[in-house]
Amino acid sequence: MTRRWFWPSFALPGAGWLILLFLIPTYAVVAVAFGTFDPIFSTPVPIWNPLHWQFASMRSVLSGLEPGHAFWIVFVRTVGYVAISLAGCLLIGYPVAYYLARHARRTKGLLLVLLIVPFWVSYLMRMLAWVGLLLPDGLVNRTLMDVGVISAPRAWLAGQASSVVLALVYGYVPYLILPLYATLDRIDRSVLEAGRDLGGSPIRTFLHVTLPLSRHGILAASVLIALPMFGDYYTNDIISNSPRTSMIGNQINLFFQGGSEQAVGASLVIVLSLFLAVLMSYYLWITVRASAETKESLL
Amino acid sequence: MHPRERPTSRRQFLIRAGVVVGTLTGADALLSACGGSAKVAATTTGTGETGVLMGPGGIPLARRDHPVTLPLYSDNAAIDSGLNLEKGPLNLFNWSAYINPAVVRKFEREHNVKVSITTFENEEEAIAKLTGGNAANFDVWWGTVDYISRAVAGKLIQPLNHSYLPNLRNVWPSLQSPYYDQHSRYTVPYTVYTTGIGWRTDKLKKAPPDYANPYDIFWDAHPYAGKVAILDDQREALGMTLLRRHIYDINTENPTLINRAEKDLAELTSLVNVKVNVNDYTDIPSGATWISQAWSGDMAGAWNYLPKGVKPTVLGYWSPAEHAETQNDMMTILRGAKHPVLAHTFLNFMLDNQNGLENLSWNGYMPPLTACDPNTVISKGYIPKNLASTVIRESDFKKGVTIDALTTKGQSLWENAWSTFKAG
Amino acid sequence: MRRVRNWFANPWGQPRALGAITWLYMVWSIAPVLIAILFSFNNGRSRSVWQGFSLRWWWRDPNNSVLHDPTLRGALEQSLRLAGLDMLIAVPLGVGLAIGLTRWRGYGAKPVNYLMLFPLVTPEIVMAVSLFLVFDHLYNVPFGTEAQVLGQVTFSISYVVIIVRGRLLSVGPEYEEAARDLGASPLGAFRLALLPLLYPAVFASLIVVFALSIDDFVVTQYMSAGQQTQTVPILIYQTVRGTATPALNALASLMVIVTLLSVGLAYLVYRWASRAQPVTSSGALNEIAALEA
Repeated sequence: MTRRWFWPSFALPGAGWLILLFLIPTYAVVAVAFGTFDPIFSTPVPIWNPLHWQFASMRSVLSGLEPGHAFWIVFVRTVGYVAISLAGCLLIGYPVAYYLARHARRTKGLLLVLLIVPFWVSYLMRMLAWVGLLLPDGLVNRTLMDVGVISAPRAWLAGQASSVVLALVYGYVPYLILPLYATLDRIDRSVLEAGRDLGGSPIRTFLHVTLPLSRHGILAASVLIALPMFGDYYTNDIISNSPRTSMIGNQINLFFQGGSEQAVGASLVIVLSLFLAVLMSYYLWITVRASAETKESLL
Repeated sequence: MHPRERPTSRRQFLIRAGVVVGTLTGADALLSACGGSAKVAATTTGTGETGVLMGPGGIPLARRDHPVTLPLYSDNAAIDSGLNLEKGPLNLFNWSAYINPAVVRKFEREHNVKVSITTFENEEEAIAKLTGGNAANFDVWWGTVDYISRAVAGKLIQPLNHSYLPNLRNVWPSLQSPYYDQHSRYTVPYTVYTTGIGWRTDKLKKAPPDYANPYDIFWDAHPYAGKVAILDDQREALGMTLLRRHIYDINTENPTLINRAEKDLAELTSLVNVKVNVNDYTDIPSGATWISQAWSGDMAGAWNYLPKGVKPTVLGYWSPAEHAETQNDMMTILRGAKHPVLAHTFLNFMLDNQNGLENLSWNGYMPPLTACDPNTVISKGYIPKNLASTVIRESDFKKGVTIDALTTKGQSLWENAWSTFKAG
Repeated sequence: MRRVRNWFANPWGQPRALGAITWLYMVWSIAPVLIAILFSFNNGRSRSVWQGFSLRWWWRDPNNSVLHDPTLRGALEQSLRLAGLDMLIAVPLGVGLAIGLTRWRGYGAKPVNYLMLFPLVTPEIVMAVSLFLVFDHLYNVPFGTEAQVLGQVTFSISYVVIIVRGRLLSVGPEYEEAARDLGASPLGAFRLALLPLLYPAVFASLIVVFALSIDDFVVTQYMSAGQQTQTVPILIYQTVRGTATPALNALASLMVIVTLLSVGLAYLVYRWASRAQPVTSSGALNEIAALEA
């Protein structure tokens, strides 16, 4: 019966590509993390057979993760930055998404375009823009001095955690607003009208109707930007470039681009991935559930 | 919701999260139990004869007082003499911005070949790209002392045929048979440099030479917080803290010393918010950095980056008269080189006195050639007078300490210390 | 006082505070980029102090402008080269995968669906590291342009699938069934009835892949092999804190302009091509918005 294999055969090239270049490489990370290394060059030698795996690198990573040790410090700092940046993104992004979804009738088109534009501007270009502004003789320092807030130029680009968090918020907030907007836009206006008809004030309607209905959207959007933020290393390298503000991505990058202990780097990647797997699986569950609901509503 | 989908309640989600956390914290104990006998692949470390450390591959680690003759292997022979030049293109694998493009073009014109340059940012990256089956893509590779024995043991580079290298006689006598490669079997020297301190003379109240121990300036630089930098190189940065404490064996593998070095550096992070980069040659001229650990060549070439109207006298460089950290880089020919005769010719070309001087004028690094003595170099304007301290004499070279190769275990110690420092 | 309060508190009127916040956000979001573009026209070397208007960094300066500096031009060429190859490979693969996934009724559909979704939620450094290791130790692929293309296609496929699948779901099977009833083979029905309906989505996904490729950093950097395979984002990352001149601003601005023009073009083509279907402008934007959800 050719029909049974007709449609799946369309998917074969794409699926094959992903298996070869996504699935198997994931296993390669494990094989290197639990592998050994070439005695002459200290380059890693992956071990593909699970029966022969060596755990020395993973053990050193785990001992570095004990409270007080190097990896622990970086991990805690990374979680802190992501949490604060996420809060900042939500504080800024939710009102904007809300305004766009529920109001802004005449200017909606224009605002949507303005919202989408940063998407298509390269992340690094946006960081470049901020570096130009935060240089010692840049606009930020000059404006603050003119206004009188500070008396001497501040070194925003030298190991300041505040600069890194600001850059993360600036960089990731567009990725939060769009899905939030999409969620809020889907909320039926009649539900809100019902809330008002039943006597709620605008604030109560928001707190008891809109916010709960958008709860899934907020969670999904938060996960959507938290995941890449955890692996971010270039923001810190560009905005601060100091060990004081290094994130877990910087440590991983150090072992691959600037070191010879790739097995330790691979072990770190595994730890990070396990940590993120919880977040990832929740996001996937939300997505699959949402698309299943969409499918049902179309049938 | 379709019956096939299993809903996850909040409770299950939290339990799942807890399991992951529990797994991670329990994993260490678990792995210790079952992976207790895990060994890193056997390395030939340990001491050989009379305290000389053995490096990977069975080649002793070279030190100034223990010169090493690199072995020749039967399956890695030098090319024959008297062969013809290949057509090219010649492929160079070099540090970025380390060779004068004008000199490369001169070679292209002289021999009617094309030259292509691929660059790398650090030695580990270079090794990774050379051992992944890519070595055959390059002909000439710029190596450093600490990696040469590995490259030979791993049969990465081929022995040189000196019949193609008559200009070797231009090299300083003491470097014609250097301690790390006696009889220049595999390498020819490229540049010599010291690592010291570069600074802005117009910004500092007290310059490094004014200190009893000039390295102390980094730890005394609170007024200049945010304008202090060290090199983004684990051996250089950690090594400096050892030199500051008058420990001149910067190739030590003593864990106590290495850990203390890391702690010293970590102090700098909190004291002066130290920057870690290799931008000294642009940051000091531009004023973004006022004090930096620097390579002599970087400071010598830094005057090219000064903004208009700023005199070269604002640049200062110091390295100690005794036990200065001196280094030389070298050129090698890769074993699978497709154009070995051309590669030899290129090496010979770079050993020519005039070409060496032209290279110096662009990157600020001194070639160890007989024509490059301090008087010539300054009188001909290759290096500004106030940066005479960046000129290396052969006698200086003999008094210095060098970054040499480590055993695998030692390498790992240094690397862990560096990653701890970089974690903040 | 009461009138002001009523004006503020009118639930069906425009909420002034929220509106103000939104416009402030828009300014904060776009102004830094505009300023950076402005400084690409700076007369001097500074990226932070305005020294007059000049086109030197764009093409006038014979050594350091985007047109003449080989490093800058090389990065531009490499970025465009990678983007082109990425589009050529990722879009057909992704379209096929989308069609296959939507119509697949067997056991394999769900795992393949998850396989497709995973790259979207994996942090780029994890993907870059895994590709780096597998190219270095298993597949023995040399780093450089080929490796960069392979890596970029891997994460681009999923975006294509999402875009095309959204369109497929709203098209439904009626057109093909009509073609089959009229005597076409399954492949013929696909070619003549379904594929033309997909052209707007295919075009949109071409542009999305283009923009993704142009802006990609982590995977491209890990797969690179030195200066010749540098792209614009890599060049920005390496020089922005040190040796950059306004020429870098010019290069980055060029990429921004090219990307925005392509997206604008895609939007116009999408609207023109689907003019027969009742798609409103906000509907189309919603579809693009839904991509990221």
